[in-house]
Amino acid sequence: MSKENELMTDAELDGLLAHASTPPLPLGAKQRLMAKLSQVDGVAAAPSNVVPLRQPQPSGSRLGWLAGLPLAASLALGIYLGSADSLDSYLPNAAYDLIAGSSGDEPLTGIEDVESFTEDDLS
Amino acid sequence: MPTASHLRAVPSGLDQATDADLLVRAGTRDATAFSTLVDRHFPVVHRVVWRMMNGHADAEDVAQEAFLKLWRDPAQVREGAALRGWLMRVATNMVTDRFRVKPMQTMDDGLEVADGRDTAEERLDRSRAVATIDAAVATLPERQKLALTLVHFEHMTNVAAASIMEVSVDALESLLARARRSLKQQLAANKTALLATLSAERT
Repeated sequence: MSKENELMTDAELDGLLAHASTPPLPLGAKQRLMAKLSQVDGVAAAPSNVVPLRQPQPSGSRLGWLAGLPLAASLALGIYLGSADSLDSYLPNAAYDLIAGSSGDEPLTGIEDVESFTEDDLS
Repeated sequence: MPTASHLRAVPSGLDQATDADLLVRAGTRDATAFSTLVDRHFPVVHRVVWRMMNGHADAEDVAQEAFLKLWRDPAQVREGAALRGWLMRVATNMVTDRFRVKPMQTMDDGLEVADGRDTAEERLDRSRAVATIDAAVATLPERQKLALTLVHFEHMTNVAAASIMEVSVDALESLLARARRSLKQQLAANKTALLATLSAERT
């Protein structure tokens, strides 16, 4: 390092570098550059083979939600069947009868009801 | 990169618009906005390229190529604040590519402009002194020359210069130290004469 300082100090080097040539901006350089832009544009304006993606259309139908009804009913039935009768206690009687298919107007009478199915009556 | 919605916020006077705003407009093929970017950044990019190419006349072509690359796709620059660094990086990479093809060692003459107050002999001495300094800089390896150009001649911070050169700050400082050491060794022999000639210019 001391040998370098013997050669030249940093201040002396900076002083010399301050006199280095400063490149002048060529006259008309900007105009020449701007003129070339149109040529680049010409290349960019070549026909493109890119097919634009179809834009998603907003759903205009007001009855679109109806499509979900069967799915909702299927889901509800699935939950009921999968609950193994544990949901029966939460259902009102009317709903229970509707799902189970029984009616309170037809009391069960037992084995006597089978008489109508005896062999004599079969023809 | 800012979105096109920024366009509404750009002031009508493009001189006050940020580089990011101008880039967005350039992306819509707005040549006026691009012209403003050229005004802002072309001179410094040209100076850096000129020094890297040792004053070769092709420096203008290389600087132009960097701007044409930007014009083709302004979205390449993700942040407007980084535009100048991007341009310099692209331009210096182009210089490197040209150096690989053929070394450039010429320094154009006639760069010194006489002010009419000195004698022809004094102007000649000064011109020779400047040519000696330019020649010493021209002999530096490419990376050292770029580091010296960015930090010393373009007055960039070490951090900014390191970013453009895509090296660490430590690596940049190492390049600068080696460049200065080399210049001292080259110019030491003529130090007294150079300092006398160039100091006489100031008086």
